[in-house]
Amino acid sequence: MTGLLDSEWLKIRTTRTLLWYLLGLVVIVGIAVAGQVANAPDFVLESEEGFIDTLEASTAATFFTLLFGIIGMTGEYRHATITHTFLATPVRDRVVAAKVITYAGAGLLLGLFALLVTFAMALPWLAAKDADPALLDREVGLFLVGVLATAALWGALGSAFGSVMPNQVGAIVVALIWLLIVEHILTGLLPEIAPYTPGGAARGLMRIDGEDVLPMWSAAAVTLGYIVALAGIGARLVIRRDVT
Amino acid sequence: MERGRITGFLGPNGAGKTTTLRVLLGLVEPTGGTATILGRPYRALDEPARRVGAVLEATGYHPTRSGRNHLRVLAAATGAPRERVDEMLALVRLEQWGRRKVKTYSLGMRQRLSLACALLGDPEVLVLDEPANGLDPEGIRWLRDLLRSLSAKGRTILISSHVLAEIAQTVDDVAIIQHGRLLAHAPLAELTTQAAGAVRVRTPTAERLRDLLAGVGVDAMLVAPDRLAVEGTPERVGEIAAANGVVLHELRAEASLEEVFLELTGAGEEG
Repeated sequence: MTGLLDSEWLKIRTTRTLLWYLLGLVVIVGIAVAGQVANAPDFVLESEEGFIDTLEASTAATFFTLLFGIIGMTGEYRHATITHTFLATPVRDRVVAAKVITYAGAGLLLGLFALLVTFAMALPWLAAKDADPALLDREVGLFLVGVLATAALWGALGSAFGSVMPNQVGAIVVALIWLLIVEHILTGLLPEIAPYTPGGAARGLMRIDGEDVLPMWSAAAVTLGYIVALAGIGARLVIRRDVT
Repeated sequence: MERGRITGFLGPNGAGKTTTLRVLLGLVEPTGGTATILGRPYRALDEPARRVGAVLEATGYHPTRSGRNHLRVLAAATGAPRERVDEMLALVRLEQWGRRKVKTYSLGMRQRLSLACALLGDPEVLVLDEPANGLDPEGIRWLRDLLRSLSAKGRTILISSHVLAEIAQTVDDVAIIQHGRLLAHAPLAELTTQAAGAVRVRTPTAERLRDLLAGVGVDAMLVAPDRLAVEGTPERVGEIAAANGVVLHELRAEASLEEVFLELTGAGEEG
């Protein structure tokens, strides 16, 4: 399995895709931090909640890691490298498992990078405004852990989903429609299930939206459940699907 | 397939060559039956890529990954030693191109990279689907020499191709399939010399020669308006033709692989 993980990590390192994602994060996180710091009054920025609002710029990382995971899995089909992958590792469950683990790691990395960008921008800017944010606050700490956990889990979630839907464009479109439209409709119709949707669980992990979300541990467990279910279905479907 | 031999795997388009090879390598589920290689299904082999190497059509590369990095990815997944990566690049004469993106490669270079991938694990069996695709004449000769030297080292090679001349110069044995059924599997020499009507004649008066041969009890078949396939020896045919003043343009003791192939698959078509 270590060889397989090495191989998957090497796949990530040997294309330009990761670089583009890092650049994209700089842009998106930068815009979000700037929007918050430039507009909110100083007393808000200094408050614990206001500081977390600023740090929420880093939650963009979860979208990025989801897409990164989807593209990592479906790209093998798009570029037809899957033949070599399955010749090297004919037991396909292992390929799916290695990808899910590797993209959890890559997701953690992207999450860490998003936080670094957020802090690198926010801290000097706040200092220049003489605002003194509550850096060592417990809530702030939990938020940071939540962002990193979500980024890692959503990297895994993306690759697990990709194994169910190897068509790259299709997988991205379905994932976006689900998160941006279907979840909102579901939430409107059945508010009691909203915390259990993938997006709802992510908000629970990052403690966004206050009370109507799951506690962090439960949210993590729900997300992990989605990953295992999707990877399980994917591995079984992938196993049965012929590679031609 | 026998160890240490090169077997040509032939069949008309759509006969199921590529599908057969993909079933053999565990990429496609057979609708019935099982395929084994080295005595076991491919998926049940330990370190399969180190025992069987394959070049398959429709195998792709990430456009912005270099050929060398693609090999490194495979080496990590299969446990092949790292030194093999550069050794294989040198073997397929891509050392100058190894660090460039695959999207800058020509079709022939991609094909050579595929061979490097197949040989990375130093496998005892090679399965090659149309390996000469995209190679120039010099590349085809290079490939033939490479396959010969691998076979001399005891490697077993299965090679599918639709270019019969290329196969005829490379293989020891031939297997011919059509509609998914095996029509023939024999050493090449046996197929071409012992095929029905192995003696080939080209003459402007083919029908007359056929009747003359029939008169002395030699079976002959008109395979084209000016061509006969004769059951007999070339000496006998030559003597009869000379005695009757028949002009011969060509007289061969051996059918070509192409003739055997067309007659076998043509017969299959009618049946």
